[in-house]
Amino acid sequence: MSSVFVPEKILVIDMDKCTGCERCTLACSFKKSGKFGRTDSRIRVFSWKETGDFIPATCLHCNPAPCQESCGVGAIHRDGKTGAVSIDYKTCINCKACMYACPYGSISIDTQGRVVKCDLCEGQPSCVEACSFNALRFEKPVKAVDKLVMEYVRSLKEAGVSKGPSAPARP
Amino acid sequence: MKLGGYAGKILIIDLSKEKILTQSLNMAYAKAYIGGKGVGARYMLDYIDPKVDPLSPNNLFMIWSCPANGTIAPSSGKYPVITKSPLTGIWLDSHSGGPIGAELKYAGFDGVIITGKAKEPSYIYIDDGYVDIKKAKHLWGKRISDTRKAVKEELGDPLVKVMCIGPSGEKLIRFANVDSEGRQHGRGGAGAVLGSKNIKAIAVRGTGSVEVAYPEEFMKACEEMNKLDIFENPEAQFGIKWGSIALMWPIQEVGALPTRNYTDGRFEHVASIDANVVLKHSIKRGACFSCPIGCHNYVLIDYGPWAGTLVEGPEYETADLIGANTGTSRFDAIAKANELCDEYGLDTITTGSVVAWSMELFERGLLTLEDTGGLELKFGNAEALVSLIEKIANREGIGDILAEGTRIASQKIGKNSERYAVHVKGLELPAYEPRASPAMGLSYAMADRGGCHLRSWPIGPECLNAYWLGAKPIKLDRWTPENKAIVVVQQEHQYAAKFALGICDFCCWDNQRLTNILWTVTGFDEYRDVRNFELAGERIVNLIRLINVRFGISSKDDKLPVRVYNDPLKTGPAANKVLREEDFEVMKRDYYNIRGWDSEGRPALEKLKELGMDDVLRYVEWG
Repeated sequence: MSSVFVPEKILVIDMDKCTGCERCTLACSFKKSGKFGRTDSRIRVFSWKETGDFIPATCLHCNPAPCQESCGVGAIHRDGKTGAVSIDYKTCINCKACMYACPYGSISIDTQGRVVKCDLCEGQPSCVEACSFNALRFEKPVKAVDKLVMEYVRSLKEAGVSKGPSAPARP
Repeated sequence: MKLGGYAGKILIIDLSKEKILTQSLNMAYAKAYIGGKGVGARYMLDYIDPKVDPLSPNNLFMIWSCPANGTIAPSSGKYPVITKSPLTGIWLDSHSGGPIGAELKYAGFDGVIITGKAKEPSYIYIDDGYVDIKKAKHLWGKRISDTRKAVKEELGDPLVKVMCIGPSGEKLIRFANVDSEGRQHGRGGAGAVLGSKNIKAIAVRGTGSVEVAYPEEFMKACEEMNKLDIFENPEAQFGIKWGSIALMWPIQEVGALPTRNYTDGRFEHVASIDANVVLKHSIKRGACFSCPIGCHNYVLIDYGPWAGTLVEGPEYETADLIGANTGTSRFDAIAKANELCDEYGLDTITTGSVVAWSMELFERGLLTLEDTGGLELKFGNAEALVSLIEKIANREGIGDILAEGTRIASQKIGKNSERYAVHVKGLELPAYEPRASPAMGLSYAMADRGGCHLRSWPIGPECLNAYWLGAKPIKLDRWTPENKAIVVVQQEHQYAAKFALGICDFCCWDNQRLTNILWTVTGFDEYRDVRNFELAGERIVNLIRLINVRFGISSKDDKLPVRVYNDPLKTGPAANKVLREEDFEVMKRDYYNIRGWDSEGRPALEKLKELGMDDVLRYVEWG
């Protein structure tokens, strides 16, 4: 069995902290095209302003990656250092098969008409740098998981689990 | 010379003739007046008939983007809608941080000028270069969030951005707002103008991009602004931590918090409506387009008769005008009132002021239970507050009169009720008491759209020791009229140019850093120099004054409500103070002198020439 690739850091999307400002979109667009807009961005933010729900959506760098498997010319590869699934434009024939293969719609067409996707900016994602709300983080997987566990544990504590017999039953 | 920041095209829609055409943006206008309210004003001067009735088909409704909109410049989401206001009958620019300003540029337009009236309820759809007027009969009567959802569903595009009016705009309530994806163009009744044109919504989708002239220098300027004006700026931390509601503490402290229809400067129950209470109820934070501050709180009420209320707010102005100014200390009622205003499409500042004014009339016996339809309109009656807002939004009973705003309503009610109406040029005053901050009085009297706090904010240097707010450090003595005018003038230049650029009033009070953004975005060489940024601000102020003079404004309209001159505040540091009319007249005279305006308040020809505004001289009808 081949071993699963464990990247040093992963992109964490924290929807609770997202404010819907779309600065990640703008930063990505600028980094990739030198212009500001949504079409050249590899990340999109979906907003429900009436309830304050904001969801940034981008590539999750699946492993194995359906886009990589779907590519007929082998233009999609995984970066050995960052684990990013990215497109090699020397080989890419722009057939868009990867767009169909992606279960999350994370591959799009930019203003030049090319298929584009997130490549984690060689380990320094510009979307993360632009996010002032810590809704996007680039961190060690174990740290990201620790934070989730911590939140769960805190909710138990707030529910009074640690306070003895009168506490509600453990879920 | 390389240019950036502009799409280069404007869209003109004549609803009566069903004609849509595009034009190149006049780059001479862009260079002189930057964008947004500046360029919009220049086009308004060209296109509007000064005598037009604001609610008639010939009034213009314009949406203008600004050069920084759509870029990653900090807090660069602000853009205006511009029209002749049905509330004041004069110039109106009303800004919001919704994403439409950016989206419009992504769609390829710097501005949209709408005139005429659609034959039937309609909405406008702008999809890149494609523009369509679509039927909206099925949307008529819908509340704001339902309208937004319905339009997105109908167009089948979750990323389309929708600005729309609520039932209040349809019913031509003179302070109806325009909603822009959950942010509001609140003041002055732009929503009623859209309603009068039979336009329910404007949906915009753009897939293009915005380029800046000097990308590398631009990113450096942004980084510097982010650092010095936001993340390392102690004042900006208030916005980051609490939002605008944090202002309630210092304003209460200096005794400038309007309470019970501007009879007091301190509210004894402030602790039940302040920033701590908002944070306690906040379930989520939000931000305007491209803003790293994120000052919005989504507040959920989970108790009492209004349980289930979910509203983005209340922000400072709302919490004061709908809260303290109506004597309401129940936070759940304020949140509910805020939600109703947002959903029906009412300006919360004017709504709060109108309700407070009617409460005072009721307490003085000028309105009776019969007049109010059984509502006990006493200060602090939270249920009555909420019911009255429903009545106003539906033009029901007394609400039909109040829907005209305090100035017109006081003429209808008569009985000396104008004596208690608190407005400048018909626009109700926001939440800074001019008797506690006399410079704010001058600011209100001179603001281009009537009683407004966003044309200058001299309460900062005057009462809060906040010299960072624009003006050069001039020591101000709070209770004398000296030096007030120069501070207001300097701030007006900064605010005008900054808004024309598209940066929020919450971000950056340093002209040099704003100039850096302006130059790197647009590429206009003259804006390498900070003095030209200030000059552009001065040009915009004079241009809009020229428009207002053509609308009939003169020196006699630059005045404050009678209450401010005559009724002393009751408690706090400004207890027993009035703003004496003679002191006000001193400030006003100074202001005209500094501005180079004549005693009638008209910009002198020489002044306009000195500012290089020769192209507007043909509109000047005085010597």
